[in-house]
Amino acid sequence: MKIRIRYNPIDGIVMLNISSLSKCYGRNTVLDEVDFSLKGGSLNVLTGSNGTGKSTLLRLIAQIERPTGGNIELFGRVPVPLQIGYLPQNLHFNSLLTVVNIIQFYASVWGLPKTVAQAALVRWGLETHQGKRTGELSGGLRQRLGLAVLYLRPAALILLDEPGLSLDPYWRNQLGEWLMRLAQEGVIVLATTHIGQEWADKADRMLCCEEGKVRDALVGKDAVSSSALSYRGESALCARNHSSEAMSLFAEPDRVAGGKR
Amino acid sequence: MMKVRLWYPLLKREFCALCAHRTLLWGLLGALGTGVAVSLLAETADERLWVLYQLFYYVLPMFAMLGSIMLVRQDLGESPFLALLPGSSCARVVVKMMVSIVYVWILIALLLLPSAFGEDYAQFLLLGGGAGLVALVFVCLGIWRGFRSRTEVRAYLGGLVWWIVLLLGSGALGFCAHQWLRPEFTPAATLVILMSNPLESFRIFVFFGLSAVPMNPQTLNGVALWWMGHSMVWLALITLLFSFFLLLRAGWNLRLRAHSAES
Repeated sequence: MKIRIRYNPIDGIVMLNISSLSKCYGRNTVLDEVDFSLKGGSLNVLTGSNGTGKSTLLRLIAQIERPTGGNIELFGRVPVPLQIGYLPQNLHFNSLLTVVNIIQFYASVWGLPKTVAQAALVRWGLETHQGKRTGELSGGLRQRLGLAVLYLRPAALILLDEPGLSLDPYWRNQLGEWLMRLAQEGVIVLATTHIGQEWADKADRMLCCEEGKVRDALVGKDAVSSSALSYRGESALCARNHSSEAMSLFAEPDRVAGGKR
Repeated sequence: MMKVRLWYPLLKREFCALCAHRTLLWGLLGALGTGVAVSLLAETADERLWVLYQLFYYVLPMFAMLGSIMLVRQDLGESPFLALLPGSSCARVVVKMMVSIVYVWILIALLLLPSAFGEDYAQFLLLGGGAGLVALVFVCLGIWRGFRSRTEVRAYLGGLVWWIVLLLGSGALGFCAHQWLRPEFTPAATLVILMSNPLESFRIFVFFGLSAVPMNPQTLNGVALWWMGHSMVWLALITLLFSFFLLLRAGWNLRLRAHSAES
């Protein structure tokens, strides 16, 4: 089967358009008439407290779940799974297979030689773990294996659900650099996180998912203005145009006046 | 232009996983040991056939189903990645079925070969063929339950319930028909109940197609007579039909909830 990937991003022009997107599980509305668009060649970060629908939104965009209502358009059309690279939050590979089995499987699916698979393992520091079964890997190593699989093939839209959660600082930094490079190459990157501070200096745009809606939280690298951000337990209330300073409160909630945990 | 190859990598991956599965490998060793024990302990070929039939009727279907559930549940956590491969639902279901049934057929061969060695192997071949067809149904049942159930425990419990239904359900339904239906309808109802069950079809095939158990043709209607005469054909038909629909359901369930690990 030969498939042509539509991969022609134009920097700065809206490539991913989401309109009136809703998702309900029974009577529970997780996303309610969400509207936003993302430009080609941008690194976008979606923040928000637990259970606000960040992961659901990514799954809907990745076409893994069907929305209750609304539209998702990539380059003006319904996205094809091949255009999308998606890294879920809790990824578990087949525990009987080794790291090299997994990476070579995906490489052979995409018709890539073994050398490319090996290069992906080296890129994510997995060459010393390649003989290990995935069931023996720690959470961070599993995450890096997921990133190595994403690294194998080009995609127009990369979606990452809490990508840095299990990674140590070195690999978080590596991840950030890789995503910035992808954005420079024209890929739309959308990552979710609880720790906005880490991404504030890298992201082109910060979004906030709250009460079933997605709003602009701040403009990452270009942030100039600041505004108050309150932190109440695990619930972060996002306002428009938060500064990097304000976003650091996601990581250090105790610093907020009156914010007792 | 990217060339996507799915079937061969999936087959290779599944066989790698199967070869690494210790429980299933112990199963093969157990089958060989059981096959040797049957060949040593049973004196005549008929006795061996009878013991092997009991194993194929009572034990093998359950083992085939549990084994295929194990193989399905192994990589459900990887579904978010696998779901983004083109045409993956159909390929995953069919490849799982292929690998599972190859494993079960090897299992059947290991059980049969020690007994068939040096004997007239035609009978053993027919018994193995029938058992292979029945095992196909239970492999597909396991794949369906594996993809359908939200948790591993529910998958195993659901599979076991279906196994019990197929094993004992016909007898229970036949008893109910005998109790509640008018006597003239009882034979027809019993016939329909037995014919629609692949496990009972296997039993009829072994009794009347393989062992030629004596019967009185005058007590049977036309359909029953045809069935007794063509029990192998009917067994093949009913098992393939069941397997096809179970695989369809499995594919449907996989498409509906490809993201089972996170949902």
